[in-house]
Parts: sequence; C-alpha cells; structure tokens
Amino acid sequence: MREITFQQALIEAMREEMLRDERVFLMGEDVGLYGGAYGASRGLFNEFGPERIRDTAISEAAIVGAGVGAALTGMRPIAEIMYIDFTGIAMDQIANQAAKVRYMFGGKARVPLVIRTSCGSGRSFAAQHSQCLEAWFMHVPGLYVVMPSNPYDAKGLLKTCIRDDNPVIFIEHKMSYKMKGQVPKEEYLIPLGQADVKRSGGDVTVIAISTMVQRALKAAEELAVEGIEVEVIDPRSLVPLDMESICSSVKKTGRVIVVHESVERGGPGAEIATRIMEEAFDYLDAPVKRLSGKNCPMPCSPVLEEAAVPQISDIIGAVKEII
Amino acid sequence: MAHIMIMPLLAETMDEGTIARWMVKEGDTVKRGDPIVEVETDKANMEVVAVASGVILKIVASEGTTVPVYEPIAVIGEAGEKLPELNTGSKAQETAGPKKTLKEQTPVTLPEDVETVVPEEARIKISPRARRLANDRGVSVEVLAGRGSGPGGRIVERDVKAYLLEKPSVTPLAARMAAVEGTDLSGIIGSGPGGKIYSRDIPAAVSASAVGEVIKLAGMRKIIADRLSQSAHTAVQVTLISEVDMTAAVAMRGRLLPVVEKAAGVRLTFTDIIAKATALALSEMSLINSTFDGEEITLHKDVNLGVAVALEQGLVVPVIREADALGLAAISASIKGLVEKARQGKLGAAEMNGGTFTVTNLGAFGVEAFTPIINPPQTGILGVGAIKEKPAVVDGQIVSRSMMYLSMVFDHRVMDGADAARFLQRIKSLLEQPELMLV
Repeated sequence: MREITFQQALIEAMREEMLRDERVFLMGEDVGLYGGAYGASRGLFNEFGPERIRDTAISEAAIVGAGVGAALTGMRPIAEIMYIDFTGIAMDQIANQAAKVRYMFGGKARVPLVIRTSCGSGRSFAAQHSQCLEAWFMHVPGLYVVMPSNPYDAKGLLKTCIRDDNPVIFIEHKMSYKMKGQVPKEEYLIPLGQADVKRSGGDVTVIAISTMVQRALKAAEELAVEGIEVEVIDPRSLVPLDMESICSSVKKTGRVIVVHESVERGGPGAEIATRIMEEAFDYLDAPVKRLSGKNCPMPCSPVLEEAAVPQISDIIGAVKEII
Repeated sequence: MAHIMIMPLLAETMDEGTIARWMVKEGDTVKRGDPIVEVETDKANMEVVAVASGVILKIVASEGTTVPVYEPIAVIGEAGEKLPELNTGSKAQETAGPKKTLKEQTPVTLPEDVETVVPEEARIKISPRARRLANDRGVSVEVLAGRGSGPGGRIVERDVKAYLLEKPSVTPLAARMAAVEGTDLSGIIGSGPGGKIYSRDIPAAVSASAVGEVIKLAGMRKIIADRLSQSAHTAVQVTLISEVDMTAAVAMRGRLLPVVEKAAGVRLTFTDIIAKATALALSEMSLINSTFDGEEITLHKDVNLGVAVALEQGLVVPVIREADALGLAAISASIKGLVEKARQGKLGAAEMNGGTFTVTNLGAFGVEAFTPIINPPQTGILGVGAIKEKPAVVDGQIVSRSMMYLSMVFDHRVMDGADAARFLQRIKSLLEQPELMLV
C-alpha cells in the first residue's frame, strides 16, 4: 500500500468530500493561497478557488460564527482554527451556538460543522500555542471530539466528520502532520465511537490518545522484550467514547493506564478512568493509572517541554509500576 | 515500642473468639504478616497474622480461652522490652453484667508508647478482580490475607490463582456439607474439573468407621481413604499384567551405579529406571498421560510422574515434573529429594499435585504382582513387583533371568484394553532393551 503523510491524508479527505458534495467548503486563517499554517490545505485553493477555500480575517469568533451560520443555512463548512489555544475566543460560538442549536430547535436545525484545529507541544511554542484542550470540548454536550493518531485514521475519520450532521472538534497534533503511514487509494470511512486496538497484549491495557499512541507502541515493543505484553488502544474519538472495546480489553488484562498529553487535572484520563471503574470495576486488578501532562502551563524550554509531557520511558515505568 | 495484638473482628457478626492454637510461643521472633495464632469463631477457624515484627513478649490469652473482640491476646515488641500494662479484666465470659459497669470498675488504660494496632484482617487489601475470582471460586478473602504480591501488599488476581492451585477448589454446597460434617477437605481431589470438590464427593470423604479397635480416621489416613474409595467407586478399573525380563536393566544399573553416584550423589534404583521408562512411554502416548473429570478427558503435554512412597504415617505420592525430559541421574536425584522431604513431612502441596500418572513399587517387600488403585483424576497407575531370578526360556534354552511383573491398572472409561496393552508393551520393551531409551 502507498504511504502518505498525515497532512496529505487530511488534504485528500477534504478534496474527496468537496468533489462529492458541493456544499463542503473550507475557511480559516491562511488556508487559501498559503495552504494552511501546517500545509493541510495545500493545493486545494488552486483546484477549488477562493469561493470554496476561503481566507478569513484573524478572528476565531468570526470563523466559527460564520461556520455555524453557514451550516444552519445548509452548507457543510470546515472551519480551521490554527491553534486550539485560540478556541477560547470562539468559545461562545462553539459551546453555546454550535453545540446547542440542534437541541434547542427540537432537531429542526442542524449544524454540520467541522472545526479542524491543531494541538500539542514539541515545537517550543510556549504556553499559549502548545496546549491540548480536548477536555474543554468533551465537557460540552452537543459536540463530538475526534483525535486521530495516524494518517489512515485522520483521513477516514475526517471524511466521516464532514458527512456527520453534528458539530465536531477535529484535533490534529502539530507533531503529526509529517508522520507517514499507509493509506489506501480506495475510499473508506471510519465511524465515530470505534476504538482501535493498535497492538494486542494480555498484561496491561494502555489507552493512548493522539501522539501518545505512537509512544505507547514503542514502549510496548520494548516491554515485549522483557516479556510484558501491552495492549494499546486508541479511542480515536473521545466523544463518543467506545467503552465496549475498552472494557473488553480491561476484562482481559485487569490493568489500565490512560496516557495523554493534556494536563492531568480534569483531563480525558479522569473521564475514561472513572467510566472504567463504573463499568468494569470487578475486572480491575489494580487502580486505573493516569499518565498525562503536568498540571502546569507548557514551558517554552525544549527540555522542560519534554519533561512536562509523558515520554516513552514514562510509559514503560508506569507499566512496570502497575504490573 | 510494644504492639498489643487484639482479638480481631474476623466477621461482622463476631463478638468473641476462642484461641484454638498458638503457632508461636513467648520469646519467638515473628515477622509482620506471619500467621501466629488460629482463632475459632462461631463460623470457622481462621489464622491471624502478626501485626508487627518482633519478639512475642507475652501470650495473654492461652489456648482454649475465649476472648471478646478487640481485647488483647498477645504483645509483640523488642527482646527485653518492658511489658506494657495490660487490662484483660473485661473478659466477657468471666463476668456477667453490663459492660458499662465493668468499664467503670476497670478503665482500660494503655501506656502512651503502646500502639493498639487494628489487625490487618480488618482491612485486607484486595483488587476487585481478585475479589471477584475469589468469590466465584468460593474462597473467603480472609484466607488470602498475607498473600498479596501487588503494590503495598495488595492481593491481586495471581495471588488468588496461586492459592487455588495449592488448595482444592470446592463448590459452596460441598464446602458447607464438609463444614457440617467437620471434614477437612485439604488434599482431597474432587470429581469435578481440575479436581474441584463437588457435593457428591463429600459422602465418600466423610464415610469412615471401623469395628474392633477403633481408629478415628483423620489426617493423612483419612485423605488416602477418601481418595481411594472415590477412585474405586467411580473409575472402571481394569488390570493388565505383563512379565518383564529385567536382566539387561539389572546389568545396566550395575554399570551406571558409580556414574550416577558421581553425577548426582545418589544411588540409582530400579524404581528410577522404571520411572524413566514409564515417563518416556507416557510422552509417546498422550491418552495414557491424561486426567478425567467424569465429563472431559484432558490430555497433558507435560509428563508429571507421581511416584508412590510409603511412610510411617501413610502413603504419599510426590510428583516429578516433566519427568520425560530428565535423565536417569536427574530422575534419581529428584525422587530421592522428594522422598526425603516427604519423610520429614516437608512436602508441599505443589509437590504432590498435578500428577498425570503414577508408578508404585512394592518389589522391596517381595510382592510379585498387585493391582493398585488409580490416583484420581489420573487414568492409570503402574504397579511394580519384585525382581526375581527365575528360569526362563531364551532361544529354546532354559536359563536363569531376572524377571519382574508389571501391572497396569487403567480407567476403562477413558481408554480401551488395547491402548493400555500397547503402553505396557512399550514399557516392557524399554526395560528389556534399555538402550531403546536413548533413541
């Protein structure tokens, strides 16, 4: 199978959906001629023109607000917010408008809006451009939250999100764009709420999110040498969350570590761990463990930045601690 | 600092407990978590572990004494340490009347440097998964105390599994029946899968009486009686007898005696050679190397050979793991080691469980042939008779040969006569031409 980058997978997903459905369009800061801050819309401007690949003013509230309006009037917009850190400016549009309209109008209005945004550390962008804020959106009823970890998942999930009639926060890790992976030429879709077992193992379940999936897989490789078999599960979407897959893994292993880059306090790990305790308590052989970003603003120093988020060695340590 | 051990609350409804047996005496050194006393409650006997490491400074409650919950039973501290003042005046069985009055008369005062430790039993750390397994298998959490291998001594799944391997599993009904009859089920292998004890196994375990001199069936004798009567009542046992020419094996043993002596420091016996031949034959015929629970026949990959050993107290059958993979010196050393441990009464349950076939040799007593009883859930047993110089016909000539009878008892429910006959024939070949064991 051919290999393409995460960035190319996103471009292909949007291009295919734009060809398939003329109501689909992309807007955001520098998504047009420039091709997006991370190159995730490169080439689309030349193919589809300024009507469907729209550069916007530097106003996140306007980008999402216009997206909600367009979606309500029958379009299927993709709104790009360059950094998830900036969603704060658009939060009213996201949490109070996009998420609530379908419910408040008794289903008569729909908001088929995809908000694509980037998250994460790794580039020394400091505290205002490096956060992982998926927990904010998990907390708002009415939003789907999707976090792909490789090119294949990114393409299949983004196409599904564009076709869904509900608002989706689609979070791309900024260190993922250049990641290569096998992606078939043929069309495929990945449903939301379907976790993927990235590696099977019987000793410990590691539930990893976004770039932590690759780190968990590397940790699992090293642990396998010592005879410890780690099962790595990628939920892929945090809302909806595939508890069935998670619980069946817990029943097998009895031990769980949830790994994510976002800070520990009130993070996705807290939600996942609690649900495991509610739904699979009798199968736990050890308390569910969280391994996550430190409860601090992301430092600018590369050394401190690395120390603030889970590394492969941390995952190995956590597995050995729990086993 | 001295620690006062108190009568623990072992069950929610427990008010008092009787000291059944002290496993330590004053002056003994104990480690935190060591079982030191057996306490009898209205429900069951339970072992209570030391709450601290140190020396048993004083045993406050002697065996047979009934002590209210939370009253002192012993003091653990450092050798030579001054005993703290103890107040045992409020023992319920000695005084009638409301407790309140009692307390007013003799207020409970403890010196300040004495820590009253709530015993571990009151809060056994166990994972939900381990608890679930224990509940499913009818194992009370209390008996698992002190076995935790998880972080902070938490009992985790593997600890329950290890316990289940040591201890026969029992259905709740069977456990209840055994409790009513006062029958100890340890060591008994039931008729269920993996030797699980079912209610149907209990009458056999309980039935025991004698006329004339009355010997109460207890301990090891009882276990032997139970298991063998169960075997005799359930397995369909058929015996095949074959005479084996041991002349070549006798010669080989003569040559190997100094070799094995040098290699393993033990004296090679015929039992060792027969065990080796049997293990090899078993590795080739998995139907014989099997266990049967009444419904399913389990064919075992590993040949775990039981070798019956007569002790003064009775018969034990230590098990040599993967015997087919061992050479003669290793088999010999393994049997000698297990027999020595058995003689000293130090054989662990793990060294007696899991056998897939048994060899029993009465040759030393001059017995020529006999029909042993299968050791359930195994499906066969080999009885070995004495080796005797006898006239035999070889190449038309009557010559003196070393002859021995082997009797193969098998469970006809599991295999047919021809299967067992082929097995016996194979052992006969291996013993008559010992060099075949090298092939």
